[in-house]
Amino acid sequence: MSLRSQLLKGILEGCILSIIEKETVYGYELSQKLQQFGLNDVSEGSIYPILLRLQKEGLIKGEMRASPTGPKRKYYQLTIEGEKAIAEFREEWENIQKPVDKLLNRGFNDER
Amino acid sequence: MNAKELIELNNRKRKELTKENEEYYGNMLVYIRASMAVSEQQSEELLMELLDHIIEAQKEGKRAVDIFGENPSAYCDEMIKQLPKESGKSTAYFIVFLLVKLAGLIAVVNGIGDIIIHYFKDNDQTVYVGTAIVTFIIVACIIFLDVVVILKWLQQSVYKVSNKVKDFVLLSFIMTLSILGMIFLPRLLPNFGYVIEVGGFIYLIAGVATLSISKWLDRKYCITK
Repeated sequence: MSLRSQLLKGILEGCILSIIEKETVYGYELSQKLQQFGLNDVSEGSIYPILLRLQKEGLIKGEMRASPTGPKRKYYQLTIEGEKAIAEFREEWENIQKPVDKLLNRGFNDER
Repeated sequence: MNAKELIELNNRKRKELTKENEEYYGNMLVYIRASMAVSEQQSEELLMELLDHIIEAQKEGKRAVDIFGENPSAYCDEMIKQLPKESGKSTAYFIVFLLVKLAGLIAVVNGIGDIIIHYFKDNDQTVYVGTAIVTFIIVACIIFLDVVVILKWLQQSVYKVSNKVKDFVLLSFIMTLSILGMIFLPRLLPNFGYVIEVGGFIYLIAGVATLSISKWLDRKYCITK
């Protein structure tokens, strides 16, 4: 896998954890939330392999239960491990975001 | 919800799909179900999630291919890789259950055959226990290999443009080879082990009893869910 797609995957993973941290969601709802936040380029389907991996790593837990509208759906919630992982992600993101922003936004003259 | 209920619900819900989406989803379904090692419960839950997703997205005019992409086999492979494996214990139970059932079926067929033949001539009813057990193991192994081959072929055939004639020839060849193997390999075995006299009726009774017990066990322990 290329570094670029690995990076994007890691970021998407963090975003998914962050949404699940706030509320329990099911698959479709999660994809809608990501789009609402403007992540339109993320193909909807790409969340499912990630959800499976997060479950495998024990960061989230899926549970089939009745939805308010009736049908049973698989709702995801964070485990304690997951809470640790999102805290870590937040920290890593903050460490990387500012320097990258600075790098990308520097004017022509700043470098001299 | 157990796997069986999920499958039934899946069958009902699939009718809500448009023709195009149904075809796309149907292929994913076969591809994921045909992968043997993964937990049935988990893969059915995943399939239900994917189906629910398409049904909701379909209302907004989206197509399955927009959601899951142009390369469904790679997409499915990625998910299959992440799915938990079926536990060794339940796989073992399932295989033992199938073996018992197979033994029962063979006994019934043998019994009926023996009874019919016995009407016409006085056939040999001597059974060498050792030979019989090895014969059974050979038959079971051949059937197991066939199942593996057919499932793999089924999985591949979903997304590969396949040559129907070639596939047919290959599958018939494998089936012929299997049947010949089941008939002729046991003949190479020497007679060994305990010698017992078993008539057709004993075979039949033992077979029916074995099948009934396996059915009862299945109901009690939900082996096939």
